[in-house]
Amino acid sequence: MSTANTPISNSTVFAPSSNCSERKSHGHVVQFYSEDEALINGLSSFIGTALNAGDAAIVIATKAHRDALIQSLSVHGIDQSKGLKQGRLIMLDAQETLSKITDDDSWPDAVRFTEIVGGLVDRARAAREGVNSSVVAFGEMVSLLWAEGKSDAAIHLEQLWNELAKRRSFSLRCAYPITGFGRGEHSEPFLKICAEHSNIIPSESYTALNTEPERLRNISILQQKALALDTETAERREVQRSLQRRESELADILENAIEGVQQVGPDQTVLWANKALLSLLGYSAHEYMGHSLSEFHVRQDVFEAFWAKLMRREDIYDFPAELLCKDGSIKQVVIHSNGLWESDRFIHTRRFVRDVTEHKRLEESLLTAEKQAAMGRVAAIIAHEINNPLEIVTNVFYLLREHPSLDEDARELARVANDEIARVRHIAKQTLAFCRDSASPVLVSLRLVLDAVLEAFRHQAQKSGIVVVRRISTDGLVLAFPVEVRQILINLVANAIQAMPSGGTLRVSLRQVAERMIPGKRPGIRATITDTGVGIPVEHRDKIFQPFFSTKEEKGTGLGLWVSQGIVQKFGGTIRFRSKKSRNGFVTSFAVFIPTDATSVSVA
Amino acid sequence: MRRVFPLHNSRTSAAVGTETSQGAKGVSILCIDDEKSGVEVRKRLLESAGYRVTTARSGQEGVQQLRSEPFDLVLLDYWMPSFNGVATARELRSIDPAVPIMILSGLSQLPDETIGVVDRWILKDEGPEYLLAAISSLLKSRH
Repeated sequence: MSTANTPISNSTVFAPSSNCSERKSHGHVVQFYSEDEALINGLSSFIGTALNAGDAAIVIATKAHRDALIQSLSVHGIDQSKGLKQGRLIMLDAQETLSKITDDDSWPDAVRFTEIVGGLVDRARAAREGVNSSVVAFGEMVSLLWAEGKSDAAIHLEQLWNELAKRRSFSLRCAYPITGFGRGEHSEPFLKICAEHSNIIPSESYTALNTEPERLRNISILQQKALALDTETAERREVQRSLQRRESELADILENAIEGVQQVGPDQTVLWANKALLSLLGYSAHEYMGHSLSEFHVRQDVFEAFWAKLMRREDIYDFPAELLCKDGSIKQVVIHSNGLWESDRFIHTRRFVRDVTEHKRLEESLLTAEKQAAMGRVAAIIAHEINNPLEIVTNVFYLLREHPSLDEDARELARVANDEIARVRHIAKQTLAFCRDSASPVLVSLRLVLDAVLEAFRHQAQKSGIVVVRRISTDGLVLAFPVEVRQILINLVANAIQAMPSGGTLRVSLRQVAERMIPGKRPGIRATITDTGVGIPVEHRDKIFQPFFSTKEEKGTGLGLWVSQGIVQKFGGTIRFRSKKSRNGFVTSFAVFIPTDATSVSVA
Repeated sequence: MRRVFPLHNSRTSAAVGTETSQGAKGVSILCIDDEKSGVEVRKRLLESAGYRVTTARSGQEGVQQLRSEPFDLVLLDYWMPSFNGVATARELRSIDPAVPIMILSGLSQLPDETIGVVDRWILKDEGPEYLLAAISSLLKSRH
């Protein structure tokens, strides 16, 4: 850079060249440079001129810069060793000196600075050749602080230099690589650094220009660049803000979408899932994300089929699957999904998961309802067709039992036939009533039904010496099919009475309860029928709800409890029993729970 | 009330079984059913309990019978061709609003329209004792 060595007058309206000397002005100059060469050229001129004039010089620089300076001085015929010997040239390592003047937090300490650097100036001053000679100093400790990102410390150190210059006479030069100010946020500290200096030497792209027209052109170019850059920066900021806004809006939409959304990586790991999906399955983000997607699929063959489709780059629509929830329940879902591919590399899949559990349940219950309605219609026809001839035969045998024209033997046969026909009638009644012909459930009072059933059995109970105790604290309104409710209570009361042929106590109670055994503690009505009869032997306890299981020999059909359980389960209720030994025999209790929330009734 | 609790039909009180199955001498019953053997056997059953029974083989015929003479009770089948039990009961009511009407059905449950038109309904599968007790009970409640 030979042009950099061309001296330019300080009085010029333009910026000084990098080798301009402030040694007479006692100013504080800062040089910005792009290449070390530009720094060394300027510095060599600054120090060389001083040494030639008999001035003293202090150089606090990095080793590389010191070495380069020594070499440059010798190229220009200046013997630095003589200066060193005379004490007119003091060269110190910037890092080492910096560590001496800073505290533990790398903050320049005023006392230490004055003592050390002030001492250096005093030493140099004493060594200069004549009283008219001056002291020049170059320091780049500030540059080291700046490079470490300690801009405040750098500015503070500049101020300490300025303070020192007020008390001691010397010319000072600092230097910073311009590349250290390449970011927007550097603008403010850059201005502060400039403010601490009396003169500024721009970097060589400018100082290398020697003529006025060149420099004016360059200023214009720089102004235009600065303006364009400002505009572009502002525009970019706006674009960036808008992108960030859009991104957060999209993230918000996905996060708060009603449908479940998730991303799954090529190793089948769940990368992300939105709130809807987590809440559908009941997992926390931590329990779901980072896990393998297959863990949450109930059927592995279905999951594998899904993944295979995806790997074939198919777009997947309405793919049915079952997902496992945290509480162990299963959600029926349909999945829309496709993969994001970059050339042949699978990046991730987007899965949209829709819960169709309720939809499926409704579909199934509708199907069941249709079937039940059809069965009901068939049952009604069968009931009619069977009951008509059955009534006639029943009536005939009823009349023949006591018919005067028959002898006792024939009448006895008629009685047997009468009893057997009664049995057939009972079986038909039990099975056909199960399929009722009513279209929809109505509000039924269990109290009224129970009263009617008890009334129906009053005579039979009296005959067997059974005391009936009623404990009824509710009307027990349930949404149900009357004939079915009656069927259950008749079966339980009849069983209880038949279990006490030699008398006992029949307790019936009706209470409003919250069923603890059903998740969600659904409210409902519990009817309990308790007898003090023969009890249920242990070996029969797991069979009593089986069809055609009866202990009543010819009297029972073995259908009563089976039918009752079927009806209760259809209501979403439960039927339980227990039979335990007591002082006077056994206490057997059947408890029927029917939920009172309307949704529990499977409408048929 | 009856619509809400169709089960709590007054017929249930007839199921007590304590009522006498012996009808009072001279009590007349009009028995309507399209099925010949059914109505004949039922007539014999009711007569065995002491009732005086007149039969009719259709709703229209039953209506004619009631027009020509009064009855203490009408027992009619629900499921009859063309003019069913309920329609017949309505017609009978217009002739004699006070006559007790009992409907008999082979169906396990009767449609809501039946309720309020007839005094009691009973199912054919309940058996003869039940039928006689129910008739006796209904007659008693009217006297």
